[in-house]
Amino acid sequence: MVAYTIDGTIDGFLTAVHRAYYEGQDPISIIQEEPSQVDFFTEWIAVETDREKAKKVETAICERIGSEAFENVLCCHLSTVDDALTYAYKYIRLGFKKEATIYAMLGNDTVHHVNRICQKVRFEVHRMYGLLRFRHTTGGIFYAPFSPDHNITAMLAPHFAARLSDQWWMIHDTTRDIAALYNGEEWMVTALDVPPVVEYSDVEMQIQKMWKEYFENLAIKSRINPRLQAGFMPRRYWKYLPEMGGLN
Amino acid sequence: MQTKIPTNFCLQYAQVYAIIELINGIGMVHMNSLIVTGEDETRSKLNILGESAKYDVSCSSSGSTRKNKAGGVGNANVGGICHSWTADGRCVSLLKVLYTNDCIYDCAYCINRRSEDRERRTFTPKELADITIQFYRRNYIEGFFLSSAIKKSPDYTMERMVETVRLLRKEYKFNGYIHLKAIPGADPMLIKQGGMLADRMSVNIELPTKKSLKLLAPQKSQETILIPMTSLARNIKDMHSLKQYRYKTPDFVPAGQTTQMIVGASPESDFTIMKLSEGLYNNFKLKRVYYSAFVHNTEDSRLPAIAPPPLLREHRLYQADWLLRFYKFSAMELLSPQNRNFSVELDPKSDWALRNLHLFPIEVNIADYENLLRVPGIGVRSARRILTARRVARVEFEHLKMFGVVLKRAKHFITCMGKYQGLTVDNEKRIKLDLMSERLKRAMDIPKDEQLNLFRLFPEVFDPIPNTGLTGEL
Repeated sequence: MVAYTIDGTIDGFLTAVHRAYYEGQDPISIIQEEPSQVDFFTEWIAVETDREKAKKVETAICERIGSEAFENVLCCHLSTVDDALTYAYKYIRLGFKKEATIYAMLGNDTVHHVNRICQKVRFEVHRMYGLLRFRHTTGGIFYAPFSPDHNITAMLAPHFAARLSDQWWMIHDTTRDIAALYNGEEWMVTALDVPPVVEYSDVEMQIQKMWKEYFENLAIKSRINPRLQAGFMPRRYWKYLPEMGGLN
Repeated sequence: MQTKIPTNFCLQYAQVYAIIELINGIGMVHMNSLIVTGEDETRSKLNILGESAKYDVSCSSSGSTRKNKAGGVGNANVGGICHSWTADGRCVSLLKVLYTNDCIYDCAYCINRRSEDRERRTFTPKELADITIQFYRRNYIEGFFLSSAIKKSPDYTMERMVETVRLLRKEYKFNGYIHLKAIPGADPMLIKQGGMLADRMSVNIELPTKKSLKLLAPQKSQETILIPMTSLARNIKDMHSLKQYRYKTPDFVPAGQTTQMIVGASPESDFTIMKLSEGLYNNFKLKRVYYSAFVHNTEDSRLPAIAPPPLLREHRLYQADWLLRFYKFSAMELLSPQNRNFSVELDPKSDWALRNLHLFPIEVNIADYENLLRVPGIGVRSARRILTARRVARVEFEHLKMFGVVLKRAKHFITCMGKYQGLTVDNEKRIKLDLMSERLKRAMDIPKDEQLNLFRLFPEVFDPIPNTGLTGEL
């Protein structure tokens, strides 16, 4: 029985899939780090990332199963669910056998797991479209810190590039220290070794104050329901929301 | 999902120092205007006029596919995006304000009526546009919702509102979502101008019958309300047909028309309200009807006795509204002249199912979409998944759980490959217990003489929304 460890990138994962096929192996697990308690029967192999092989697998998936399947695999990669990549690998294997019918196999265990993981990731992206808050800094850049559960920064960037197309902005994932940047024309995602020193402009404090007061006045007192509010907007996101007393 | 995801986005090492420089000083300011002077005055207007607008419950930002243009800012998301939630659990997605709360009318239920002693404020179009753009750039809101009290005259007020929207669209180049109220009695040309700029327009029908309207809002009349609704419906239809021939036809109110009525301020039954809603959907092709539980804000002898807002009733009306729009029910199936109000214990769909047990069980692998939708515990999404999955495999009970079917309720009404896991028909009482919501059952477990206080004792039990993401959508 074999299992693979990879370097954590999508290319690494796709190389592992390539290896599984071309060396006739069927790994029971594909994860980033070897677990501390190693099972006597499992052989752990570290897979070296190879961009060429990864590209081949990507093309193969898109052609045989469809681009939707590849997007699902990407979502699994971006998620922080345990075993997400193992399920993604099984999904790819199943997809090569069944091709496009995999989209209809909603009762299948693997497909179901992958769909649930993708649902989690996409739901968080949608939530973040609403919950991300930009702050105007003295340099003129709009800065938005947040801490998502899954690695979704790159999925947020196209939406905000299209919407806030004439302002320079930065979306900073504080837990992973990566950021999406936009300069009025195109966006990119990079790692941040050094945390940015952010200074907010005066206008920013004025607007935040207006927003906070406006927000407080919106509640209808006879219908107050904190549990309902937290059900829609979990407390872990309140850290970066000005109206819920988050960072200034 | 149509987002393009680059595959090598992780760990590209860019010039880190350049990035820090960008944030700290070297960058460009992209503001059309900044609110610098008169800040306190603007803030006080925003507080008063935002607070005055909160009883207009429409919060939706969906239905429009407006795209951004070069040099502009903003776009509309067709599914709508919720940006925040108030302390009472309602979604905030638009900057919802009144243009002014200085009203010449004197409606019995309204906090802004002429005879109330209140601070009166009026915005200027520029102030409103400034605030909207500033909030939008920070992603606080999805768009703008503008309503108003009637100052001087309907025409005067409507003209000011249209001017605000025009400013936003043409000079601030704003392409986000705009919901504009149409003032009953205003010049049709003004309303049409508004429609060319806004994504959605609405006129509040306020009360379900002519009689109640006459009693509580004597300066409004059903005619002045129905005229703009009719003309909006006609214009939407005409422009839509024209677009089939001429692609460059501008969009007129692309997200459709809606309305709102107050529930609990007048004695009409749920049956009357549902028949009215059904008529509005069929004849005016409205996108949505909103129901607002009456909150006592004013003292007036024409209003009913003071009571907490009828939240459960509002919830049942929304449930029934969804049944009309997505589940192909008709109002007569849910209620009738003999059965005029919704049950407290059961939601309208379960209540209908219990009254029609002779139509069940249905076989999940064969039944068509309309019949699947009628099963309690099977919603629109689960029904669609069943239809998809059964193209390639047999559907069994363990699959149904994966599709999101609530088996506790559905099992009495379906078979899977001929197998049945529910109770027989003469166990109606026990089936009913399975159909009732858990919180309601706990609440009802109280002594008989206290049941009259059901609503007041357990306000949290009658929350409109358990955890469904469907509320507020569409």
